[in-house]
Amino acid sequence: MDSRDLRLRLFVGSVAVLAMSLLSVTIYLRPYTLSLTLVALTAVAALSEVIAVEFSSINFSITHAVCAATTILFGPAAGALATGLATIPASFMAHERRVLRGVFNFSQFTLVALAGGWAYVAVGGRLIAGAPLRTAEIPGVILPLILLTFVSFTVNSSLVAAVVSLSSGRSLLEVWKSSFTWTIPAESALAVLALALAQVVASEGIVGLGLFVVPLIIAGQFYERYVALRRTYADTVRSLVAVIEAKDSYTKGHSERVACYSVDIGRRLGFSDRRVERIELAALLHDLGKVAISRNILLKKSPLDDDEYEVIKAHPDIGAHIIESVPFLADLVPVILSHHERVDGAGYGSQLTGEQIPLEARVLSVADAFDAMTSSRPYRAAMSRDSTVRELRRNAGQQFDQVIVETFAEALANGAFPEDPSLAEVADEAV
Amino acid sequence: MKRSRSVALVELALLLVSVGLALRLPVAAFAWPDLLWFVAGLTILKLSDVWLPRGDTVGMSSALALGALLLFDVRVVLVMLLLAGMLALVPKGRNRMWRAALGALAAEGVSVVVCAALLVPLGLHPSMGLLLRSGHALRPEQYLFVVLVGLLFAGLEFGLLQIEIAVGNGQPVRASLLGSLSYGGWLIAAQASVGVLAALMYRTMGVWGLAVSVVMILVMRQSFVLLLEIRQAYNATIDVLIRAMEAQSPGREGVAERNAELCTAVGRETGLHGHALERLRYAALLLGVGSLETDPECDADASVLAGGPARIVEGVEFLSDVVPVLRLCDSPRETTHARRSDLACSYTVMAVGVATNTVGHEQMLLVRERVSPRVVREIDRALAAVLDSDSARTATPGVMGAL
Repeated sequence: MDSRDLRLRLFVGSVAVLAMSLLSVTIYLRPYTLSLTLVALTAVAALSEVIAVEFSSINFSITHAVCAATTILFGPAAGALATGLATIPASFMAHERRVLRGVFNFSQFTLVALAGGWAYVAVGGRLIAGAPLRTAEIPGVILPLILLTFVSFTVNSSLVAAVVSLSSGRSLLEVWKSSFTWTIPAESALAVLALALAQVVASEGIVGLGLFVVPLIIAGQFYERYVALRRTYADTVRSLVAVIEAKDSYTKGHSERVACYSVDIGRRLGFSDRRVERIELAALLHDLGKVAISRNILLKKSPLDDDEYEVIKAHPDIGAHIIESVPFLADLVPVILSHHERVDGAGYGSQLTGEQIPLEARVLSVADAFDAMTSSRPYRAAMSRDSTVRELRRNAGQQFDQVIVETFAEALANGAFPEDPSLAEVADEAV
Repeated sequence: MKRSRSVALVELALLLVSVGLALRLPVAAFAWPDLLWFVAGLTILKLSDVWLPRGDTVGMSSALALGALLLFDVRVVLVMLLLAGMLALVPKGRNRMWRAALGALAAEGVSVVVCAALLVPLGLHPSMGLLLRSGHALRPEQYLFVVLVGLLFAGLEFGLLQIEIAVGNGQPVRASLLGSLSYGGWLIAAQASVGVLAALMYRTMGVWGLAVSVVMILVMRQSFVLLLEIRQAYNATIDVLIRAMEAQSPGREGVAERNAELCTAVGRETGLHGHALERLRYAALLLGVGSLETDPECDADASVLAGGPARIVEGVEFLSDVVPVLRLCDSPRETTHARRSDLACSYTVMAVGVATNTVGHEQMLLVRERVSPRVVREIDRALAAVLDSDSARTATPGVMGAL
């Protein structure tokens, strides 16, 4: 067992102890009565957990909405118990680390429900089982509902981000931002759904729960469709990278390496997450236009003649043309068009100079040149990293942006990249 | 233009007949604030209609219209729909919107009146509305009635709109309806459920219940928008691969689209719809995608081709059922196990390819010998019919399939 695994187990153990302690205290302080409706709600929550959608190692489902409704109906103890029990079937069906996963999910869900439930009760939220809210009471339930949602979301996202961070080695903030910020609007809407579910169950009984099945499935489909959309984007990029690599086997892995370098430079230059994501995509697709160029030219072992060079120079235009009609790639067109521009205006494309060239394209240019020089080509052997950095510095201010070259040189000096980075997953993570 | 005007006239006539029928139904009481709140809710939802790429709309207000039908007098509901439709047009204010609004109003109006008329013999209207507002819980069989009415309402409204779109676009109504149903089935169930829930929540929570219902419908809308985005992303993926193929071989420009158009028409002629028709279209569009791994000017391609002609799209999840068809088209003899539907799909693509001189006759024969003679005859007959008719030029996939 390595130290990361040990830390993970310790964390899960601590969460479990905390959850069981708080659950015991809550059941003692606020006992509940078992009812058919409570069992049915637990079953629906368990079902929604079984059909949860996995994305970036995290399951997304509407379980918390069902459990919030249970809390609003029966109180924190019933809500927490229903929530915890709802996770058991899905944990049994997991393919790996069933026990660890099961313990964590039970404890985490229980803690989320307890925290949310106590927040709801603490600010005067009324339990509505058997006595549905009347119109005049609704304004009074808004604050408790907001607090329940906020506290549940915060505890849930923090605990899940922590466990993913511990198991993957990624930073906690990075995991949280990439995995949870997009869910905030959906979580807010689910809070309204939870209130509606609680109210209808309170007024109509268990039949009300039946009426909610389809809306709950539709709400769950939101996550499913979002994930499907992201996967389609990733698939598109992956197939285009395959097109590039099929064309020129010598550049196999080139796009991924350039993407990795560009992302690092972008982060060091203070790019936003969104901008980093876009530069990664641009780097993956920057050579797409080479699909239109014959291998006789791409793989030529001797220097290119003028005509052949003219053909090569067309690849940014062709690449831009191929992607311009794709909505989620169209904003990369200026970057791909300009990635062979030089800051002194002597590059190819529109002979832009200095800051006329998009910053992303200047970053890409440095990363592209570095990888080209450090890779073996049919007509020359790979250069060493030191020589390549010297070459980049020699051309800084003419071919390359000086600031970017220095940023990248500093990253390399600090050991930012191992000699042979394994970047197979870059395309997946890019979108 | 003429067809569009005819459809509008039919819609107007349907609406007038609905109003006439509504006037003959029993009267139920209502309060003005109810009308105003529902008009506000319906207006918000009508402003949130989802516009499809070809200019058609998917309305989001049906669920609330159903809720209103379960609560109020049918004439009040018609007035609500009319007012909300007009109010929603004010910020939109473009000519095309009037047509869409009329279509939606006709579909909703007809559905409202038909459902209300069906309820009268059952003694459920207007007494049902009064019952829902009385504060007493419903009996189990009444819940069942209410849900059935909801399904009838949502199904009728969805069907009428799909027929309108199909007729407006000159598509076969049956295939379009069936194709759309495979995508819109959930929407019907959701509209029915949310409509009933809206009525139940309005009964206990008043205007707050209405607000909660509107939020639920907007969540549903967002989910539907995501579905559209997914379909647009599918099309974008195909489009970008076609562009890459055309960049490599400029002589192929427009070939994939033309073949796909013909294949879709042939598929329809043979009774395909929904996913099966879409799969055929994708296979036609991507026939030859393996050429991206080859180079016409380079003689060292044999080793690259060994990877399989459809390798580039193998990892693309939504094309997973198209890959076997592409494999069959490219290497019919090497592909030992093939489903009958894959074989039929491959033969359609190859036969159309031969008809447009983009596929070699011998390559097509290799596929043909693996397909049953009955299927071959059917596809050949359909292809001949399509090539003979002008409809091939205007053929487009199902209303939802073409998103």
